[in-house]
Amino acid sequence: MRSRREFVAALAALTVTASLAGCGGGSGSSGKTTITYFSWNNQKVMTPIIEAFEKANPDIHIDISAAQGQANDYAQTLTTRIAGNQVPDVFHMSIETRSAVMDGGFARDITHESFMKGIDPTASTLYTRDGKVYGMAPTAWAGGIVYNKKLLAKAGYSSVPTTWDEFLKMGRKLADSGVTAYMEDPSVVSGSFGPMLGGYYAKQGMKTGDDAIFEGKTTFEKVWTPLIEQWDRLVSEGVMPKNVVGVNTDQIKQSFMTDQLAMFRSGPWDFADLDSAGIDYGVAPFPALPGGEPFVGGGPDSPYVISSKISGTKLKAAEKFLSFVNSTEGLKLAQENMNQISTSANYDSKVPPQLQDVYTKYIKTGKYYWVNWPKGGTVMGQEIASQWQLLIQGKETPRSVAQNLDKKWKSQ
Amino acid sequence: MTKVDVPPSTDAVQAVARTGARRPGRRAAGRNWAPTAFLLPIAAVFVVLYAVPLAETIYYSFTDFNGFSTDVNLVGLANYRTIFTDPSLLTGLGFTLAFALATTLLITMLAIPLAVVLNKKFFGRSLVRSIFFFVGVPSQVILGLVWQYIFSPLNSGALNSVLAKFGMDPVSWLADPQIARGCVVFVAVWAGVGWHAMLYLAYLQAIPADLYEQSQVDGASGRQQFFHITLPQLVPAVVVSSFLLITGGLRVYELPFAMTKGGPGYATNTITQSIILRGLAQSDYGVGSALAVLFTVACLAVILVQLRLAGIVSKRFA
Amino acid sequence: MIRTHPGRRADGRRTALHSVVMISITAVIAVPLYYIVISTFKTPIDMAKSPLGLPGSWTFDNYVNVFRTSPVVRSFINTLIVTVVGVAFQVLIGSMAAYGMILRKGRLTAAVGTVLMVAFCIPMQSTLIPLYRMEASLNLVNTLQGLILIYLGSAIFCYFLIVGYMRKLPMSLLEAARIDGAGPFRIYWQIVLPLIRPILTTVVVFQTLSTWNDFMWPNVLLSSTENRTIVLQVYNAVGQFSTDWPSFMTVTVIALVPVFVFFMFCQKWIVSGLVAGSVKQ
Repeated sequence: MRSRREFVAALAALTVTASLAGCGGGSGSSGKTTITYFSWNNQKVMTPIIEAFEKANPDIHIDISAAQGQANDYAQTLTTRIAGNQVPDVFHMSIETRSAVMDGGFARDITHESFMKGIDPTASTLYTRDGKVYGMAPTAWAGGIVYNKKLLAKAGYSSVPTTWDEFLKMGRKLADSGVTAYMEDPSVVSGSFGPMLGGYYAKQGMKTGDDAIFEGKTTFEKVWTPLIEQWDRLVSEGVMPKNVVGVNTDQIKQSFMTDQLAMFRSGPWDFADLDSAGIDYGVAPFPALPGGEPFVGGGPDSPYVISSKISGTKLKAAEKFLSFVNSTEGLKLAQENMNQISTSANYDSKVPPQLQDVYTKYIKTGKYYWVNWPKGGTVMGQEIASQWQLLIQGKETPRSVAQNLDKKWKSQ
Repeated sequence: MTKVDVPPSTDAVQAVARTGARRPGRRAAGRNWAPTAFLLPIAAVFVVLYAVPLAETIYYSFTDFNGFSTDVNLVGLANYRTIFTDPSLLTGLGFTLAFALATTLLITMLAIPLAVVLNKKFFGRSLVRSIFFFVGVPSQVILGLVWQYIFSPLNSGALNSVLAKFGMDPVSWLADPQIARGCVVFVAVWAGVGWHAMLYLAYLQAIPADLYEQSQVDGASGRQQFFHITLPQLVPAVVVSSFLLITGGLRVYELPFAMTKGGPGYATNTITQSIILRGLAQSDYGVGSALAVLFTVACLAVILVQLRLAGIVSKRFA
Repeated sequence: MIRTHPGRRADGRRTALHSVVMISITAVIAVPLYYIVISTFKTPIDMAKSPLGLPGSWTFDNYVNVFRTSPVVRSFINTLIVTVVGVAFQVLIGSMAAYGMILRKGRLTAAVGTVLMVAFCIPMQSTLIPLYRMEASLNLVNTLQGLILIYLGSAIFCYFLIVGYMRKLPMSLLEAARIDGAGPFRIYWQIVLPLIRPILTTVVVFQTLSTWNDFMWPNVLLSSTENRTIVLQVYNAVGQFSTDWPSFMTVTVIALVPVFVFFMFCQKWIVSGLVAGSVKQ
């Protein structure tokens, strides 16, 4: 039974170690100010920015944590932390959480702060309440169709057609030649429907887009149904396989990288991987639905928020961090590591060459769209993803999908 | 009989010295408080980690608390009404129950014969045992992600490429609601069967050999031995194993989420996922709490039924 | 071992058949494990092109990168501390409770038994926010102690596994010890615990695996890099838009090696332990 005594001793030793380990973190040793930052992007890509900032501000330490997974996981962890009164000193709002964060008074009013200089005012509109700005979004994202030039050439095309009929025709040709024509990840909101909807609204002169639906003046059923019917041809005409429902983003990318897939919905975040695979690819906007025009998906990146709970040196440190993020150096690093496109006047993004065309013709001219739910973003996001999966599977019709969305929206 | 040759540890000696256990009068007193003293730590665990949080959850289930706001209002039974009218939540309940029952039955039916085989001597036995056990060891999150690759519905998916080699058509796997449900159950069985076989194996080895020898003399076949000796002797193990399986199955969270994110549609959505999703990600903590309360009651009912059944079976065989 | 088969030759043939059948089943069963391990030696492209094949050229870059860029060693120590301390207390509390229950049967113990059964039914997702708030008010958020405190909840699970086994203990032995003048604590520590070692081993293995692998609580509770557990580290390779697949697999393998060693170590105990324990039945 000697082993038991040893075990008890080891246990005691470990308990001590545990207490020490627990106390190690957090306490600001050597006069450093520590601020907590709950990052939207994963830690690996964010680290270079943090390191550069800490180098420039040796008296500040940023304790970074990141959500693992997707937007829902971020919202979930953020909610728990806020509910436990552990609001991170700097964090991000998203379409999903913005109303809860702003209405709950967890974000600091940063309207007149000096670090907001150069921020594109349209990027702030989503994160403004009663004329006060609560989030800083110095960068934007853009997504379109990434296509394999070689496979398109084989089918006799040099670029992606810009009308829906032509696009579907090419898709059928590609499918006949034995490759998968197009795929997008349906476990998240459809990456193509939103932009195509935006293109339709733009052409029809419906400037406010979905707002009429959100305000209850019309319904998803009336506005969306014919558009969903058009979109659904993607599946019914065999351009996108039904099986896309059981596939994740990485698998789609892998099929593309191995020449089995001709086009997929993607964006700058995948360029590094595609380059390393040695694929000759291009980026195109989503084609125009009948009555619409070509559009891309996009919008401001999830903005940085300073907690309303901090003051003094912590607040100063957080402000310094945000001004670093919105500086030439910070934006350059964001572009290099995360492919985020600067919309701030402080840095003119060198857009990756593959994206240049889309950038000048669409992003710069405001021809991008995304459905930004004014409330209940997570619920609606989840519902729309599920409804789209059922639509692709043929278990729901375009009309019933729109009706279900109306029902869900009313319950919000 | 097990030998008890434990040298007194200092703690124990001190405990004995303090309580003065050698004096009969004090000993009687000691016996009265002793059960309470031994139950104190678990009572503390229960109050702090279960009772108080559950009470809070019950309270929130009657409010419109969203996780953020400090402005909390009582809303009566509204949250409970929401649950009973939301098809996605009801589908979740159905899948959770089906998952728990299916995994319990399948694992039990497979683990017992597996244990019997693993109890026989054959070349490579310890390797086989280790692998069967070890496939279930990695975190379910990781296993789920790996299986998602294997069950990819694409023609290039791991399993579909194998099927293609045998000239078979690709299967939709995770893209089809019914097959996706089956896949999730399959992976859970795959991961769990080795562990439970190990549990049965331990009990198998404890069956007295003379029982088999006796029946051998009586001319019983292998099959008769299995049904008349092995199975009845395993009843206590079945009770433990199925209790673990059913409770674990009801509370399943990570595996379906990692494999399908609850899709296609809401096909593999579980209650625990809904609790998290509604309560936290969708800032609807009142509804999440109401769901949690209902689910706790449902679990209690299922477990009571399971225990009752186990009791009947035990009595029948013991 | 248990039965004596008639005829050596038939026996040999049957054994060979067993080997062939079981080893082939095992090979199929083990494919996902093979997939995880083999992927760590591949580049992402290689992985995409031939998911199940051998690597075109073996690379150890994934391992080098993981050790260079993420604090794997630190995460390891964290997980080890949490697992060892957590499981030790769970088993201690659970076995004490089980002993308390068999010491005396009465209304109190019956009530405790029922109440613990209710606790066993509460899915932990449902008490996430209340527990998180409690941890926050105790300043335990983002500490390993806080995580260990949460894991103490599993003591109830340990109790359930242990109490059934304990009921089968020969009460005469405990009675004899009591007449010899041993107090309840001494009986518990010196007689009961050694007697229930088989079930203790099983419980320890079970709890070690589930604590080691837990993702949910570390994910919610631990926000600092230096406090991360190994499974959190694995998940860190899953990004917002795409997965760093090779490092994901590599950290997975690194995280699994100690669990594998632990299991190989315990396998013998689980089997032989329970046998030794049940001889007395």
